[in-house]
Amino acid sequence: MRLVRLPAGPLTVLFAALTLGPLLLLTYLAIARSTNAVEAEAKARLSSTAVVSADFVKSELVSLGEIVESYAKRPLLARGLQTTSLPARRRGLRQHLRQHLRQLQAQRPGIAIAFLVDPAGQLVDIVPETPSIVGKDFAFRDWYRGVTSTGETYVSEAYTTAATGRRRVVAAATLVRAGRPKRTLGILVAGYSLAYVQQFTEQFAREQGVTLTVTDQAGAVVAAPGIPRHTLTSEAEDSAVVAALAGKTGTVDDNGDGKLLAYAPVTGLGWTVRASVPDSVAFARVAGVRNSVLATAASLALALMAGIALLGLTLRRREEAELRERAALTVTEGRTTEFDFQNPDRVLQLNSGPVRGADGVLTGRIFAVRDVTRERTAERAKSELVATVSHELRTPLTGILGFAELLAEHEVDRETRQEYVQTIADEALRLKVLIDDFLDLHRLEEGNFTLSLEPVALDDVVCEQARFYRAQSNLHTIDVDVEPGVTVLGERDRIAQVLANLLTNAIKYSPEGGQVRVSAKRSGSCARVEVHDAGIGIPADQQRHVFEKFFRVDSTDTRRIGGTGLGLALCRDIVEAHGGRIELESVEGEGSSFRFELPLAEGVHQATGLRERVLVVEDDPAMAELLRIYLEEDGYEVEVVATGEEALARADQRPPAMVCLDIGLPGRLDGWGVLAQLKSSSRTAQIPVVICTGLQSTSRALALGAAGYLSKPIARESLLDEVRELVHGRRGSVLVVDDDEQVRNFFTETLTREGLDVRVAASGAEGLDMARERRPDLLMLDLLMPGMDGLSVLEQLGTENGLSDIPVVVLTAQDLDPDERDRLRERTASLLEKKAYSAHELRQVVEQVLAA
Amino acid sequence: MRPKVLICDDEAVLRRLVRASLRERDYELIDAADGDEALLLAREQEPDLILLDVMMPGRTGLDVLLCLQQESRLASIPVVMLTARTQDADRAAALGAGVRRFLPKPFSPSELGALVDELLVDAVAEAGSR
Repeated sequence: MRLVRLPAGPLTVLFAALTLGPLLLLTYLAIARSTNAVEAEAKARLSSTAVVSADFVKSELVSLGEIVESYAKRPLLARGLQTTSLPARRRGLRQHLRQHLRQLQAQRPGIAIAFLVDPAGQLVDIVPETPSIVGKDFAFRDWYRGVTSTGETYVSEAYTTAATGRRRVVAAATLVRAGRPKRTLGILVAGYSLAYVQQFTEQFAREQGVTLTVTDQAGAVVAAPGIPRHTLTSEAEDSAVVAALAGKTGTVDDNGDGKLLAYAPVTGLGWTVRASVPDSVAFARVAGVRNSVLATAASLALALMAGIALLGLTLRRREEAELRERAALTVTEGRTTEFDFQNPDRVLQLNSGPVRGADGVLTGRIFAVRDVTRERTAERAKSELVATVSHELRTPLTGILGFAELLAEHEVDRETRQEYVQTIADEALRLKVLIDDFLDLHRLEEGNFTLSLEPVALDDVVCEQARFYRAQSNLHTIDVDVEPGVTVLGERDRIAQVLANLLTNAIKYSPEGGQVRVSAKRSGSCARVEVHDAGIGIPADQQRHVFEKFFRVDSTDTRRIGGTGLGLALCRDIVEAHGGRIELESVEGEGSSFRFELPLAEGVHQATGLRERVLVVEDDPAMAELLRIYLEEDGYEVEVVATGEEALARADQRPPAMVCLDIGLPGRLDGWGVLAQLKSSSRTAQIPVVICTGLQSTSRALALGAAGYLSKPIARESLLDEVRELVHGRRGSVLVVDDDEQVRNFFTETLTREGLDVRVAASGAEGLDMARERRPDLLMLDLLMPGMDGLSVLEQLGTENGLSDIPVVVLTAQDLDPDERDRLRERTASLLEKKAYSAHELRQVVEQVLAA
Repeated sequence: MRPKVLICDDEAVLRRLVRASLRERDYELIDAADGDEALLLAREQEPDLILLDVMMPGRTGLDVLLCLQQESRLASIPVVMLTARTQDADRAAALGAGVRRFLPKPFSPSELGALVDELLVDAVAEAGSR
């Protein structure tokens, strides 16, 4: 079997699309996600760098302001300023002030200059000493305006001054106040060079790769790595500076200079700090992540592509191999071997063949294993069946031919001859049963099998079969337990066949003899029939197979018993065709019960049409009641009288279908008298009379014209048998036209026993004469006769008044063509298309036709 | 002493037929209804000829034949197979197992009689020469 039928090319493309597509998508998502995360992290970090730097700047300058403030509060400084105007003390005081300024300047490394101005802004003194500017007016300076307008310590914008060697400085200025109320005596100012902040930014740039730019409140750059120490560049236009001056914190990424920027305000000073790094640095980890994802994806993609390439190659190779193999198989002979395995029971078939390339070189062998157990089992079953059938057919045939030959070729005494003939007859019967079974089964299997359903008295069939099998075996007792009056809907012969099969089995499989029980009872809307034996039983594991065709329970006992293996299959098919089911209950070694159900024909009595009336003449009320029950259950109308006189009167008034007559009757007229009088009157002579008595005088009864004789105690079955036969048989006269004497005899015997008036004719012409002489109720006509054949008789009958409507049953052993069949159908009531009829079949046909 | 013929067939009617076929001859006839009984009787009676059915329930004719071959006293008893199985494979199996003759069913009683006569001449002669 080939799993893949696509050619290698498209299959490879498909595989590539299926594997590389998801890989690409995965890579893209991984990069996008990690880039976002890393960028956000980088921004946050830079942002916090800006904030931290702003804090640093702030603390640096706030502490500067605090130093200046603490100096301004020195009382000596204030007193020195109060006395600056006194010339006498000028020199000494000036020295004193300078002392303070020197101390202030030395307080911090960044303090480049320290000086005092008077409240008007004129320089009082300065350290380091710069005499050229003492007395000059500095009221224009930003620090002067800032400190005088707010009255608070003020850190100024950056500026350059000659006093610091034109270095960039900021000034922290504070008022020096004294007196009560306080009066401003002067302004103490420290010029701070910002070198320290500058140094900080440079160190930060060196160590962190982050450029810090500090601007003052005017937007001038106060400190930034690498800028000359005396320049002042305004960046007041920068949007980040503007934002920071407005007190905001944030980052800027997309300003097109390839750098990431974060900004923060220096609160309290109105300054800003910007921190910036090149994108390449800020997002170095993004690139790292991207690179590693890409590397992984690429290696995966490579591996996949290699796999796909390999797959494509393999597929192509296989296609080629298959082509080669196909080519090879067409030209080289294969080999088949079968292996039987016992456990589990399997047959495996191994097929192998050489594989040759196009060049004819053997490249290998191909093997295929197939489980052929099912096929072999079926074949074995079939061939075993053939063997069985052959055996089963040959055995009786051997007996028949053998004994026939012995009879033909040897002089034997009468007794021996009798025995041989009996054997031949028995074996022929056995052969017939076998063939019938086969044909039945075949018909059932083919499905062209229809039942002619009619109400069947179940007790009747059961008793009949039980009687028959009782006679077959003296080892077995067959007990019957039948609920009276149960009528089922079915075909009588088929039901009998099922019972016969089950009884045969019950007897066969209880070889030691014993009790066989047959019961038939109403069970819901069904009748349930059970045949039970106390025989060898059926092993549990084989029970479910017993209804299978040709199945035989496998044990020594059953092999000894033999059989065709068809009986139960037939039973099942028949019961199921009746709409019933059959089942088995069995314990190995204890016996078996076969149960089947048939649908009830409630309310339908076997007598079609009007109920037949039976006159019971019986003086014993208990006996009379019993007879009434039996007969009414079977569908008859019953009238009971107790005396002979009454009986005669009733029979004359309203002739019954039959009479059950007791002999010992009260009064002058006993049973014999009644019988004699009934037979002597033309009105009642035809009424069949059955003598029911405890006396033993059968011959006298029959001599006087009784139709039957039942001795008390009267069994239900025998009573009903008798009554049915007489009542139903009385209905008419039959004319049998057949050239075969044996057929005529068989018909006469069978139908006379049914109580029918039977006449026979050996030719068509004779038959016509007899029909004209007295019109029969039914004509049974053979088709193939010398002289006038059956069809001509039919045609002739059709033209004659009073004869054209006689029902005709045509008997024929020949195959009819459709045309003949049609002609016959128009005219005949029934067609018996074979030469052998069972007595029952015949009765049935005749009853059917007469009832119609 | 009358030559003994053991008849083994599970079908009573066939045993009766064999008996009837041989009734005008002066042989002692022994019946066995299955393979086991046949083996038992063969050991006990040491018949001069065995007529053996093939298809029997339980121990088949072929099984019986193989058992006879195993026992030195019985191996030389001529065996005629009576069988309804006429397929070549069955024949071959029986002949391979050393069966002397093969008589397919249905067989003619006179044919059977003639065959038994012929084989018993051999058997009696063999017995005489021992």
